[in-house]
Amino acid sequence: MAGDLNISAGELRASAGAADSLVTDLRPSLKKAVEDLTAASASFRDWSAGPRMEETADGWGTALGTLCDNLSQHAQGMRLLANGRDIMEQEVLDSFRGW
Amino acid sequence: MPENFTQLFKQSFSDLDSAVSSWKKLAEALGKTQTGSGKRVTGPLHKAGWSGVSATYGFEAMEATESKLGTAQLDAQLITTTLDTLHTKMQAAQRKLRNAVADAEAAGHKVREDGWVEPKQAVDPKYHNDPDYEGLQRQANTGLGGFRARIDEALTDADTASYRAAELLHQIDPFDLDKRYGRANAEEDAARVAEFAGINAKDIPDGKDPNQAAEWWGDLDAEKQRFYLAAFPDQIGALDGLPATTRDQANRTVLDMKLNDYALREGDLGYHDRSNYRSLSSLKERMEKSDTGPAHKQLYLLGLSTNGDGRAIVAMGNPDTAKYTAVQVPGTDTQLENFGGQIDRVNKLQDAAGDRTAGKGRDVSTIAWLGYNAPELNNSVMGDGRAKDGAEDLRDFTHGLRAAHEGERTHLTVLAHSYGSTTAGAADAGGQGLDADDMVVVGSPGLTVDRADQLHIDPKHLWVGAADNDKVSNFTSGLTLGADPKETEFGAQRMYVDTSGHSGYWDEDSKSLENQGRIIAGKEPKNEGAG
Repeated sequence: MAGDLNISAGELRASAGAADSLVTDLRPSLKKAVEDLTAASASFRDWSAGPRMEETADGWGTALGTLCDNLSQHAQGMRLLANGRDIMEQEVLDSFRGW
Repeated sequence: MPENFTQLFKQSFSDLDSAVSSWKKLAEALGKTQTGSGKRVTGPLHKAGWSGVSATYGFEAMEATESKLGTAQLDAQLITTTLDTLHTKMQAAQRKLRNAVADAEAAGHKVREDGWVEPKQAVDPKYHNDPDYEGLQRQANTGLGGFRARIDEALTDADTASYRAAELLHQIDPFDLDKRYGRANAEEDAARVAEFAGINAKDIPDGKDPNQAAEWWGDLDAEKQRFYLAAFPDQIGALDGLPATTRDQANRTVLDMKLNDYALREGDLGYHDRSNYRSLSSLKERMEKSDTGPAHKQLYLLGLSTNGDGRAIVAMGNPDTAKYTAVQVPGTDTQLENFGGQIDRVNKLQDAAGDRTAGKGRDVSTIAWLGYNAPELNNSVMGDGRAKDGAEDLRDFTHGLRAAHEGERTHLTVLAHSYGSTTAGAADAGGQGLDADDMVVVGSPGLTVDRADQLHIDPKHLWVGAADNDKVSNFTSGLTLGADPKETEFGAQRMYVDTSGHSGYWDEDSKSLENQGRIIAGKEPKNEGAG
């Protein structure tokens, strides 16, 4: 399987860079959303919605953080391929986990 | 005793306000990340033709992530709407509460810290044995019950809003993100959030009046538009009159959902579904490739259905801003499976027109319209049933283009091939016609009418192309589908073609293609022998 790449390393690295910059742009919005919802949950602690807001902030903060990590991993995978690593190597495979 | 009285009376909403704003921004950011991934990460790799084992793993993983980003965007939108609605309802409840307290106090009652409204002492209590005491007390406190009820109602409103929001937040489950059916679950959540927010899916127009649909959409604030788009993409994507970018966004979501659904059931798919799965996968790949191209080559998915043989409407270039717009209606045996050929055809038509426009094609949008059930090569092709069924849809579509168009009126050409011309003829004969500036029919077996002036198009702008050896034009025209439009007595204009057979009209470097391009660009075709 080594060398089954039919596109240039440059193209892979460009896509990897694009993926990284998407993650860089997304993370601050995620951080702020989680922080603000956590603060709102505190000010609504006497209401039934308060604890659920905290649960949402925690749960979605983690899930979306993982999604950001996935995209970063894909970028890493593309760079590994560009550097000549084989898709069947575990490290490369791990960066392309789908569903 | 009223519960949560002090909490509601003093509740601050600034933190909730900030949370609404930041989740709205997060939903937008997730959408941008999804689009950005298609345009800048996977799109260029598709365009470069990456294939092989590593590509299979790579694309599968990245496309799963893109799909999850889409689901996350919807969920973030639902969380935003839930929090925003909670904010609105609780603030309204707070106002109700404070007004009730103010009115009670203005009427002379004392309102305790726990929210209990005390009766007024109209008479000195030492006279409580006086026979008039009860009456005087009652008279002084006639409003008491009302104030207490208003306070209770306000607190109930707040409690109910909080309870419902809590339930909804609990149901918007982050664990769904990791599942192919996550989007479908999010759509179910959307219906519940819509109900909470007072947004009714039944308010979405039925599509019969594109102008009304355009007006409805234009009157919605940006927040509501985002919600409808995220929560009801099926209906929004199919709505004639809405902006092309909106329909495209909605239909791409629908496309992703269908692909995920097929992937989930991959082992159990029947013949028809397997065929659709292949066709939709090809369509998605083609669209992603175009995302990285120049603006006038970008594809907009204006319609999608997998019912029957499938339907799809794809525009090359944005029709809402194009100076010249063309709608190509295909003929017999066209279905989702071979729809790629239709996209190739409109690409050629756009280039042919672009040779003759000031914008060199950047001002031209050409649309492949498979919005009707094209007949198969059997008896269905001899009757006008399929044409008449598709006629209203084609009229709604072209009227929708007019309603959504920005700025100066576009020059609209409807081009139709073979049985597609029968559909176009039926469409232009009925209702208020297609509202086209020019019509081109090639290889036509008939337009369901006997004369050109029975259509709405000006006969001087109805162009008929027929190759000398086109069997459909020569042998089926004038039989069951209307008079032969190439005959002089029909009253249309002949467009010179130099091609051969029934399907050569788009051959590269042909006069036929050139002439269709000229007509799209608002010019007259050239006759045989012209330079």
